Amino acid sequence: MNTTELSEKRYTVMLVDDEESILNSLRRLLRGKPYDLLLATSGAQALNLFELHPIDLIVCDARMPFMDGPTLLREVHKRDPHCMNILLTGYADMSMITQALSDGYIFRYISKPWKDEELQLTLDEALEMQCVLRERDNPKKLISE
Amino acid sequence: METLAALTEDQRDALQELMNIAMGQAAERLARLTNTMVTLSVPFIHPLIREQDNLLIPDHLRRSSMIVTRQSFLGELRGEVFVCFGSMGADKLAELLGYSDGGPAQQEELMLDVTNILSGACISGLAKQVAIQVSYDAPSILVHREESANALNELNLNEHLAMVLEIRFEVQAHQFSCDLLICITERTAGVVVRAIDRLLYEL
Amino acid sequence: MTDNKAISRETLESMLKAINMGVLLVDHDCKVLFSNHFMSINSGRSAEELVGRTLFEVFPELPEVWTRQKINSVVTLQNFAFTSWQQRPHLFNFESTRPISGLVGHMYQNCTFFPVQDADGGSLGVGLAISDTTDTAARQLELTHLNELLEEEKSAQALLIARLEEAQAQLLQSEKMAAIGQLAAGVAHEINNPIGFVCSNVNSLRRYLVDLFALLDAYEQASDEKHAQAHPELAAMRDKADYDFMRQDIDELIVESVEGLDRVTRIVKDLREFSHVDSYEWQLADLHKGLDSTLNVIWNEIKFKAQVIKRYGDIEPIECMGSQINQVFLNLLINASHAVGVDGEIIINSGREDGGVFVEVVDNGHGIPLDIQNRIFEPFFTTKPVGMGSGLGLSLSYSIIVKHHGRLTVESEPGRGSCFRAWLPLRQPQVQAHATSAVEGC
Repeated sequence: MNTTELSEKRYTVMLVDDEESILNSLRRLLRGKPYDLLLATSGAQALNLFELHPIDLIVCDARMPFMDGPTLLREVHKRDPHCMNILLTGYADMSMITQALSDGYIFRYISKPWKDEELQLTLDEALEMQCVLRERDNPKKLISE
Repeated sequence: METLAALTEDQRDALQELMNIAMGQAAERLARLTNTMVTLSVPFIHPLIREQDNLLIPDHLRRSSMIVTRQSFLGELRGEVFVCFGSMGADKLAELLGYSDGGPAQQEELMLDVTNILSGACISGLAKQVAIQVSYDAPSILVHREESANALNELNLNEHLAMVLEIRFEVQAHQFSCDLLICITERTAGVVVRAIDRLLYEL
Repeated sequence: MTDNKAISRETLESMLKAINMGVLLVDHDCKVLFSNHFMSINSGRSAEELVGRTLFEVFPELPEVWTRQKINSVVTLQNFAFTSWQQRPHLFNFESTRPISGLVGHMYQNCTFFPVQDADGGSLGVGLAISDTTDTAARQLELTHLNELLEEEKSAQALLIARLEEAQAQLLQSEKMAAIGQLAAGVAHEINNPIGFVCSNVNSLRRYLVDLFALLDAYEQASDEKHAQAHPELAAMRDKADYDFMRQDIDELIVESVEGLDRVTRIVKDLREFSHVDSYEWQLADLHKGLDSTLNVIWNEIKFKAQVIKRYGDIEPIECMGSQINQVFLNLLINASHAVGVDGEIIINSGREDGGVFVEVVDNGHGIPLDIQNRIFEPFFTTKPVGMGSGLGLSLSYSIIVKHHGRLTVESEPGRGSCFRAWLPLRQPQVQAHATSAVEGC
């Protein structure tokens, strides 16, 4: 089973979606992974959590009331460019997505309904990319780790 | 005003006789005019037609007619003659009557001419037999070729009680034929009836 | 009581002379015996100049053969003859009697020929009465002309109305399709969320079950004979729950559920693909994908009626409005499914041709009679009974293909089947492709 091994690095992953069932199913999916999960049901709540904890990866729904995915992720990226943002979208608004990709504040997008394996793979790749980016930006840090 | 009751068998025979004589004379005159053999027969006599309060042109004529012309006769004998031309039209007679080209106006005029000649011949013939004088108005076209067959059905003819004589006119050599419908008003039909009765009486 | 003798011959003569219509008397050879003032005034020749001459000498415009025949017939039959302005407007070439206000150049005439007898009753000659009907004629002609103009206007209007009706129906139809597209997109979005987490949860459930069963197996392993005897209720519970069956069935159950969810996902995807709500713009589209998603969307309608055989050729994406092209496919496929009977077969062919791509929908249905084959693309033309189909589908399809600069043709043999063939160019002419007019595109 999946017990946390001290040698394994843990990541802080935040899941943002206004539907709790989606959050729960994602939580179940990611149970065996070395992730500390934070859950938020709104953009505002997500930002609050973001203030309190350093976050490695955010999986965020595109359409939410009051503050939508792109707005949240844009703000997050401004504050911490090393946080990997993934947009979960059931609404294939390609122009919005291509814009977000080219603006650089999301790593990738995943269409709803997602395939479990694909989602897991994407998260893995996102975190790998984070490593690479951290190396590039802070070579000294790597040595100290 | 006399009410025209149905003619008896004898009266009808007498009328047929009357018409034969009248038509024979007319045919003779026509033959002289056109230098051809002419037949005038009287296949139908409808002493009385009453259909839904209106005169009707008989079915068999309605179906085959392309143009119907009319001409009135006035005087002691009063009514109208309808001439029903089939699709053969009167083109065959054109030459006989002095027409050359076949333009539509000429065709119409030709048919009006034929109408005039025929009704003149037949009515005059009849008038002579019953010893009265009639005069005529100009013929005109009642139903045009272009109008649908329904136009004939929709014709509103007055005088729902009248004597109707149907005459067939043929010029064999020129393959021409047409049908005449002589409609004598109820009021003046009495003249004919009296003539018939005289004939019968003299027998 | 008038006494005929009281009116003298001179009086009668002057009456005839003065009367306001033309009066002529001719003999059997058409020689003029009498002519009145009207004739002189309008011909410009005095009575002396006319009397004694033949008609044709003084009025050369008269057609000789016809006139002689007319005179002859009056003499022979001793009855009237007539001419009417409608067939023979100008027998005599007289100038118009409305020299200032008149719109016509010559006098219109109605003429009557009548037999004239001598004192003994023999035929003396023929009289002509000529009446001036210019006024009547002019008015009649004007009316006829006005009528013609009215008729022209009427038919132009009828044409316009027909076009307007067609345009409106097309607009309605595309509004309907747009609304359906919107609805489909909305429904799809609503379905996606719950499908998403149900799918994921079922997978999680499967993993939980693996662990649970492993645990149960371990427990079973751990308990020995003594334990089993001490707890007979366990064996009973096991039987009651039909444990063996349940364990085996759970796998199948999960697999089937996942399949079911996959199907729902696919249907939603096809619906979105088909309605292409996101693209009312010219885009590169793969027609095979469009055909497939359309087929999926209407599968329910077709599956009991015909077998569908796909013979997809080698094609490349073309520049088009995907949603509209899918609408054309929908129309052709539904029509094919309606045309076939028992052993219905619909074959879809595709391939490259002439700088473009063609798609054929071939059916083995009842075919289209030759005499209506060129009418089927007319708006509102339908052979289906009232209520079944608006008759708009093919005409809309036709205009969509035309707007794409393509061609839509049909080959059909009654009793054998039909083949509808759409050809579309690879690319649209430059000016066209960049215009995104929402109204026009519909």
